Amino acid sequence: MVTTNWWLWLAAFFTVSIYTVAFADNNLFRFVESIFVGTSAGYMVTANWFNYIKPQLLNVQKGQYVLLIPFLIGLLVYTRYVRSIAWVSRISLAFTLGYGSGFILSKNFRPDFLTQVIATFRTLDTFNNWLLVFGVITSLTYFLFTVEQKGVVGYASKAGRWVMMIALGAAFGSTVMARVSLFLGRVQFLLTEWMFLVK
Amino acid sequence: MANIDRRIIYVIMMLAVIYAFIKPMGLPITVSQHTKTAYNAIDALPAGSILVLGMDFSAGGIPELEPAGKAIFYQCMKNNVRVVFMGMWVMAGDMAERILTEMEPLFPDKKYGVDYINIGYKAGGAPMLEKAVDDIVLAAVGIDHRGNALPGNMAIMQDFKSLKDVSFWVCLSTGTPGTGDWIRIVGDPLKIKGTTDIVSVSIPEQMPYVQSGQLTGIIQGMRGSAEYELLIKRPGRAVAGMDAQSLTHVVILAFILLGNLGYLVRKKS
Amino acid sequence: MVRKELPLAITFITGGIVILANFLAPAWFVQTNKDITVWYQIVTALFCGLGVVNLCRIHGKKVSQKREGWPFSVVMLVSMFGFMLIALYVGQQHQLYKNLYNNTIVPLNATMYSILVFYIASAAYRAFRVRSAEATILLVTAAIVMLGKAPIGEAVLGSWVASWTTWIFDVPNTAGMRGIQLGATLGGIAMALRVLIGIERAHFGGTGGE
Repeated sequence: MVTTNWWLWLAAFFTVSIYTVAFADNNLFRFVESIFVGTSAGYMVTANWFNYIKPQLLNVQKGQYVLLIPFLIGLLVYTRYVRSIAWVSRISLAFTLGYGSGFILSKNFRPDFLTQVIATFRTLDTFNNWLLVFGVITSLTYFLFTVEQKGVVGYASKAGRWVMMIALGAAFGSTVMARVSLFLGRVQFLLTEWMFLVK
Repeated sequence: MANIDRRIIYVIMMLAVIYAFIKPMGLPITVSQHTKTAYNAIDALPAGSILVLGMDFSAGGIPELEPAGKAIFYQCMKNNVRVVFMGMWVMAGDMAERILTEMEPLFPDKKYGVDYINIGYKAGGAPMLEKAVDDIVLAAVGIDHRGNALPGNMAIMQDFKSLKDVSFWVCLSTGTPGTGDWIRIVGDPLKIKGTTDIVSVSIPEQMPYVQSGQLTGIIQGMRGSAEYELLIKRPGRAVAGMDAQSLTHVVILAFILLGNLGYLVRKKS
Repeated sequence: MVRKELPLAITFITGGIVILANFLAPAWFVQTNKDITVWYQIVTALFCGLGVVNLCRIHGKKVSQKREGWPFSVVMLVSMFGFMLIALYVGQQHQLYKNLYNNTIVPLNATMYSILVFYIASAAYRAFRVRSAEATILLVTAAIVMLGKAPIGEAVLGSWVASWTTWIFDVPNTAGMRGIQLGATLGGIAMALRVLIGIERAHFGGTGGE
């Protein structure tokens, strides 16, 4: 029992073809890989066109001519392909990096630093809370490169390394879990929608 | 022992997964406190309030995130909570449509534009959220994913003029832009509670936000999705995948053990 | 002069407007910040074509010079323009577009990332060794997490595996990740400041001129 929907056959073909690379590099994989790169790039452009660029162009058409300025700034990035005027593309980069830098400087400090520090010392009523404080301080000590890592600092740094090893162990376990989940998703598709082996 | 051909490992893994799907063991799944916290927060939302589902993931995140996305939408529709789909990732709109394709037939009385809407992907990443805090129609360039004009005559848009009107946010995230941006731009400054359904690989880096209270619980990868499916009493693909997840983990751990045994034996000799 | 100073001035002025609007909030800056946020959205949306141009240049050259593997470049270019033409012609709501998305983009994207499971399993088997105390901590933690997050761990070994996993994530992991995060945040802020005041200019490389 296999589906008769040829779209699902296409999806199954792509899935199985990609998995062949796990055993050896082959032309079938390279063929499907080329389709992957091509369609992904095409998708990126059309998604931006439909959801943002086209409606903004309609706004320009309706009289918001000031929007032509960002359109011009955005298009300037393509001058990088013309050697004699390649430097002009720096204007687009300068604008986005300027905005991005200002944005980071305005938005990140409080939630990612201040709130985190406050949360670390908020309550010190349980063993786990003390352990958290100990872990954060020793982890930070490990990155203290301006002080020689000897004596108390050395011990703290070593403890910090151990704390981070636990964190990285958890990260590794999580990474395995994530990759397994992706694989399960595809096998589930093959067995359920394509082959009807599983309900 | 330490030099097994990699292809043998691959074949054993594949067989383990296929076996687990064909012959499910039905291992019990305990619901974690983090998932329960997120579920309870969403369950406590009053009827008529608005929840935003940030669809900040690509196709790679489907097995881990989509089941929870469906479950949250289901829970909201049952509780008469209105849902807005939007996202900073290019696939956001199409991902939302995948959920809606499956969910819409279950709720024939719920109407697009009244009970839910798919704003879709809008360019700009985190600054787009900033714009949406100011004015959702401007951030969305006056159009939803289905090509309808915003606000148009859609009832939901009368109460949803910006992200300030949202009661709760959930970011379904595979990376950046994602959960961190929702916290920085919506959660913290506007004091609007929210949570994340995150791919397993990113769980560790999100935990500080849970401890600090910037996230209300957390739905952790496929396991979290499975737990959420159980909480809404509608087991789906994530629950079905848990046996296979178990067996694959055991296979990988067995090979790690074997590799280490080989290493220790060689070291001794 | 203009090639170097003009971009630096644009960076400084744009970033300055965003910062002033957020911290001091004078009316003009707030309004200008709102406007340039839309500008930023438009500019970044237009950047998406860079990938297409780069692919066309690299693969176009490969095809014209008939270099090794050129037929795959043809496949890539045909897929790219084929998808764009179909999508632009039928639109996002057409069933053909939906079928293409669900049966081409989704399986290709999801499967391509999922092959990592093979490499991670093979790498774990070959490289994950108990060579030192630190490596042992890493391995034991990873093993507990993998068992604690899969139902089989709890079913076979008991509920302690799940409890330990939760504790690992909630306490030592949070501590370690917070240490890393605090450092990364300060690093990010320092880098943003360097870009804003023009000390960091590496991003202007490769565009000719001074």
